[in-house]
Amino acid sequence: MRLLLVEDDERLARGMVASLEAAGFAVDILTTGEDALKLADQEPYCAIILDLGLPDMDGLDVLSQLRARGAATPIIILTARDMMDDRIQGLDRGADDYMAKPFHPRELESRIRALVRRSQGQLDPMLRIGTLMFDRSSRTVYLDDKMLDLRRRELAVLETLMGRPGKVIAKERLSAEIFNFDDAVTPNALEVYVGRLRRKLQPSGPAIRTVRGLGYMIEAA
Amino acid sequence: MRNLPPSLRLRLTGAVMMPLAALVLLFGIITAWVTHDTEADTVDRVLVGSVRTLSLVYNSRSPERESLLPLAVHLLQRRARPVVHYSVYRGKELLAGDAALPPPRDYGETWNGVIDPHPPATFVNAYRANPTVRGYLNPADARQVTQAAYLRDGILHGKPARIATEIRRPAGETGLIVIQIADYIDDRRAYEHQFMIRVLMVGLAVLVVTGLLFWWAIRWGLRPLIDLTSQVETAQQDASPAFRLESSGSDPTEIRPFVDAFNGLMTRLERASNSLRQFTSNASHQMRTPLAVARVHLDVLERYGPHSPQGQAALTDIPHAIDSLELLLRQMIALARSEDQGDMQMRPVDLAALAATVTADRAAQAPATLDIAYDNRMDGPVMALGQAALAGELLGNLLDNAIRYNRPDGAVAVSVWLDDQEAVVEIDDNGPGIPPDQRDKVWERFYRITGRTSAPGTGLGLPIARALADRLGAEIELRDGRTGQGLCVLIRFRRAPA
Repeated sequence: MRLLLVEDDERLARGMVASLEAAGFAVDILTTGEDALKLADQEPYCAIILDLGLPDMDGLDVLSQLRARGAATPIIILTARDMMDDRIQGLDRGADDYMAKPFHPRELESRIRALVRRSQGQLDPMLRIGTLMFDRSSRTVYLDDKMLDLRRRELAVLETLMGRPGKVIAKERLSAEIFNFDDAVTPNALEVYVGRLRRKLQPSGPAIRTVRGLGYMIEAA
Repeated sequence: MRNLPPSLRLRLTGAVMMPLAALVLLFGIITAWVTHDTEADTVDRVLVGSVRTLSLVYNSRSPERESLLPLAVHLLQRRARPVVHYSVYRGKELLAGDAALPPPRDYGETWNGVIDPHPPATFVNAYRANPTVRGYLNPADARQVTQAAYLRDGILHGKPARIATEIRRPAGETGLIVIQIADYIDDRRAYEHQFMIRVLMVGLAVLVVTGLLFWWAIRWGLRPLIDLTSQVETAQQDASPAFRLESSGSDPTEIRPFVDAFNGLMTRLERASNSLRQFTSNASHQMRTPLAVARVHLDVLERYGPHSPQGQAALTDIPHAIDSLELLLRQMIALARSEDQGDMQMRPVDLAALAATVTADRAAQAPATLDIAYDNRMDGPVMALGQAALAGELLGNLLDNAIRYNRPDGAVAVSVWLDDQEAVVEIDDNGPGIPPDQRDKVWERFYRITGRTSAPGTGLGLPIARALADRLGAEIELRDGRTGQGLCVLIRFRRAPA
């Protein structure tokens, strides 16, 4: 899942990226409101983390403008302003959630996951196909009640595929959801991850089918 | 009385009632004296008139005399103020009346021809201008009078009495008779006392009624104060610095200055309170980001471990965050302290020597690539009014800015000179400078120049400098850098008197 973080404090952004990546997200950083408005629509972000204290414009204005042009991405606001009026204003202008600094990074992640689940219409944090169970909150996968050892990217691919069982997901789309701007991606990277996944899912897990020219799909059940 | 809290009502009432009581007392005394005087006068007149009446009887010869005497006595005794005690003596012989009313001691059988050895009694007759001769309208009546009626005090039946005495030669005789009429002083006194008690009662009643009226009048008069008091009491329940006393048009002029002064004080209090609230909110706001950084990076450390690249980054980022917090705290305290203290002694300070020391100190700590120069244009001490420690802090603060916000190969030039009125220190750099449209705003707390929010610093440096300058009586001016780029800061101190 790919996140957009709009935050101008470098050190904080660095830390948040490291923290969020450990939780399985791919994160892009932007440091100004202008950039956020320009690039928020370019990639399939599953959520945007927007800091209100931006150097060039008020984060609330960025929020309003994003919503005004129809952006449906869940947006969670991050800010050092913590008066109740600020919260109310943030939520009323279109934010889906609000976190005050300083925050606990784990709480941020959980809230992001909750927002993403809601926006994808999957209320159960557990993804299931047959005996394959993916716990999105703890980033663990069980096949026949045995935990699978999956790497970060493999988890990301599996999560994205299991999010739409029985549907083909284009390769570009899959890439866009798993890698961020800065990842140096070789053309075959995705294939490598899918291959590894297939092996680990055997024998009793659902199959991952390649539809050439289109993309990948995991069987529904 | 000393232990009672002072009461305005008591004060005012006392202030009015005491002079009033004194006046009433004075009035009473005057009335008593006038009464006494009038009464004495009246009695004396009656006595004298009566003695003349009786005396006139002896102006006629016997036998008319014998029938006139009882008639006269009868008339005298039937008056409203009856004359009861009288006597007529020829020598030692009592001709009529009370023997207990003897002639005066200096009355002798033979008269040595002196007329009126005792001055006759006279009365002030304001309204009647009838001329009298020795008390008689008809001078013939007075011819035989050797001593016209006069008044004396004596004793009658053992009690003090007022006696009117007249001595005349009765018609057709050669010897002298003395006619006397007496009135007890006690009686007169009793009359006076009665009158005076009545006056006293009236006086007391006046005082009491006046006192009560006044008491209530004060309460009515002080009502505007009660109204103001209740305004304040209501406000106490929901105390806020926005409270002001409302003065209506019907407030007395004496209260307006107080209300205005109070409201002025509340305005200043409100401003101070707002400023403090804003400061606190700004400060807490500023502290949140470094705290968030620390927290996030601690989480990263936990997840990745200290030896991972992310962990290593965290291990440098966390101390930086803590440093920011510490710096912020220190600057906030410095700002509070620099604004807080009262007047201080201004002394002559050698700005040249001070600037030289500060520059040398900062230059030693600055990166070697920076070009830092110092120039004293006066070739001698530059004396300004101020305080060495604070002035040094101010210069150091501004010099730090010039160094920190500069390019690695930048230059900073410090100059000192004397003007007509001022001693000036100039700090000129060729760093990024401050855009002219923001030169007013940079004095606000926590203000960061647009586009430079992530630069090091707390946004409190210039406000602290301004506060220090204000205390030193100095001014800071921001201009374009002399080289065309960067910032030129001029600090003008007051010149020390020669």
